[in-house]
Amino acid sequence: MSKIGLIIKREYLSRVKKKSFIVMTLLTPILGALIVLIPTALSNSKNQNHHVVVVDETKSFCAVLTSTPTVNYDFGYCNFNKDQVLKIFADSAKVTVMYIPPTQDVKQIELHSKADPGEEVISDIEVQMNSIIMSGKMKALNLDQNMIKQINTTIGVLNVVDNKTTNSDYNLGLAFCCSILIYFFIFLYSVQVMRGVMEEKVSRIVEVIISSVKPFQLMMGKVIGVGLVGLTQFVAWLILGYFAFSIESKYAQSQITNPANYNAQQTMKTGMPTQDANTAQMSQVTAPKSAFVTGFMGIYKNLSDTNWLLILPCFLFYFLAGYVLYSALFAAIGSAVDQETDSQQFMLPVTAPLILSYLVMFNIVRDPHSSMAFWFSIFPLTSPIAMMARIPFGISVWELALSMILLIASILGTVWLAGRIYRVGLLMYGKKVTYKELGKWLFYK
Amino acid sequence: MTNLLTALNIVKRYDKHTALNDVSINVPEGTVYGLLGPNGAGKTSMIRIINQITAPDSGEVTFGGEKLAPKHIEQIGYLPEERGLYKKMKVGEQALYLAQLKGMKKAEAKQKLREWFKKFEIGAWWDKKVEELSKGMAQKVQFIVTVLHQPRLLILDEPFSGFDPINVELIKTELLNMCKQGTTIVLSTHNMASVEEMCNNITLINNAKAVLEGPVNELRHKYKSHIWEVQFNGDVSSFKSAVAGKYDLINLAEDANANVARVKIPKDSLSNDLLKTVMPAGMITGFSEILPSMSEIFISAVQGTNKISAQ
Repeated sequence: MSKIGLIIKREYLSRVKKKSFIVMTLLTPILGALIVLIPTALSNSKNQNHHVVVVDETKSFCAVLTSTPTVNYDFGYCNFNKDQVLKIFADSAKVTVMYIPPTQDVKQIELHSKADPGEEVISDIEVQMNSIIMSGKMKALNLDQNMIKQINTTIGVLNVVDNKTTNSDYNLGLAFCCSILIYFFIFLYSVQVMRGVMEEKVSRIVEVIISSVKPFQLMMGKVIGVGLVGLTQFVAWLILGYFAFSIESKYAQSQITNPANYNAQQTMKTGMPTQDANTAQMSQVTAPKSAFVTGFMGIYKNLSDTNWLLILPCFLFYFLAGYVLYSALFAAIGSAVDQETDSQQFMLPVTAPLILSYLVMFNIVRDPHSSMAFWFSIFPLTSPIAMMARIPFGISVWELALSMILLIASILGTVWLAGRIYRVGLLMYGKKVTYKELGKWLFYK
Repeated sequence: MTNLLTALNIVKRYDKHTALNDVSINVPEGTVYGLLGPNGAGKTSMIRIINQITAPDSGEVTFGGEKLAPKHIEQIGYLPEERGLYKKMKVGEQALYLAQLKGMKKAEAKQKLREWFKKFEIGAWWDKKVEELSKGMAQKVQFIVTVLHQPRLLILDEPFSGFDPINVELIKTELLNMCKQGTTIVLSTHNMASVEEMCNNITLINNAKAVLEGPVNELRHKYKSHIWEVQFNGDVSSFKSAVAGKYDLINLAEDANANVARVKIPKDSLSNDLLKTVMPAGMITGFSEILPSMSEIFISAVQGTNKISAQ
């Protein structure tokens, strides 16, 4: 095996065999799935029933309000005096007194309690009250329910790009996912390269090694080895993610086919006033989940329409090229310092474009053809993230080619520069290194 | 004897600092060569150039008659002064990795490592992590890895530091054995006793320049100050009167068993004349010339050149 092969093998195996690697690889998708599933499951679970005592001076809401899993309306004190009821429940922590003042047109109601009943209870009351008052008004105006339905409109947009129907929301999601993956990959693994370099320097094994191999071979061996570790982890996550995805989408499907939920979603979307206060209430609770479910189903439907022949190779290219570019820089930083704390001053200028492109990416996915999007996707230090945020929306060949060529050229330049610094830095101990010094190292023989 | 390694007029500059200023060394094959000098004199720079870790600004290095090239790396074994191992890696695995980097085949390296581990009594540590090793044991592993591929040239920078006296002897014996079998050794150390004991030739570098070079024996004779040590039993005062007027009595230590006197004789005078002079004064039990130790030569050479450069 060639020497660089040996180095790659060691860098790869020593990391992959670590317990922390195996744990991280298995745990991350599970954690990810839990982060998505737990709130969904929680919002579905039975809420604690909150006791609301109604005092209604208008006499028109008492029988109409419906108890829900969240709120249990108690009409036993409907006709009582407000102060009287408040006195009765003055010390009951779990009871909220709801007071509806005696007006024709109810604009405001009061809630009295020892402890704040919380957002969910309040929104349940709001929704029910709104709905009851609205239908009362419609009746008074002699409005027909069907007429309201006719007035309500939702416009559908069929987005046809280059003779193909596309879904902008889906493209946005895809662009977002690709960019974020690249961002985290670069960050996580470039820093690992830096740590590896520092480990060799601090443990003083480096001089033994570079008396056997060229520093450049050691650096590239490390960059490639760690990169392969990242790819391994990525592929493992992809496989595990696929399983998690299929489980979740099954779950999502069951949610959609559940008629109660489907109704809720419709109500949510159209803002239709409805007599069924129960359903209206539920729409509030299921709102985040429903959006999530629709998003999921969207990806499911759009997966087959995506131009994977463009996306996948581009993703792999920017994924790896971005990593090599940054990890070479991080390797140079690692070689120049003795301690991790000293690395901060050099980390900042290197991580700045990375973080900047991450922040800008949020704008790029909204407007992928702006001039800002263009320049960020051409500039090599930002293009791995910025360009991947544009590609799903369609990109002209010359822009893609320019971005890639510039990126490759700067990889060659950066790796060369980093190699020059690395080779000198490795054997420098006990020196506070300045930028001026780094510049001089480039010209050492 | 042919030179295995020659470095000719080596110049190496860093920024404003000159590490080596026109230094040449010739290392005969099959000998132990001492590269001496105070801290920061430029020894490590020279060693790194020979190991092709850095390149000289000017000058030329030849190895076995050829211009030094990357292919020679596998014929050189280098034990740096600042040496370490991967802490989290297992000892055997690590030694195997380093041996393979030197171009050894895995199976061969494994077999030889087992032999060396047995010889150095660290066989039981093969599957232990380096961080569990004591410093001395880690040093042994480093030494083994340096010599495992049987290089033609061994370069050792302070090889004895961190070893207890027993292990120092073990390493010395191994090195001298290898030298007998034809290995050339370049030894950089501040341990002057081991220089006297092991080195055939030395170069002393001070302030980036070679200030002293040659065979150890010749140097010691060249720098001797013609002092003889006489051990005798007998009256001290009669010994004193015997040498008085003829020789310089530098020192006389009285002892119940044997008195020891140090006498300086004129440069062109014969030691036999001194012996004749002192014989009547007592029973002579020992008579030998005092050669300067390498340590003394080192100090006087370094101080001498420092004075010159100060002027």
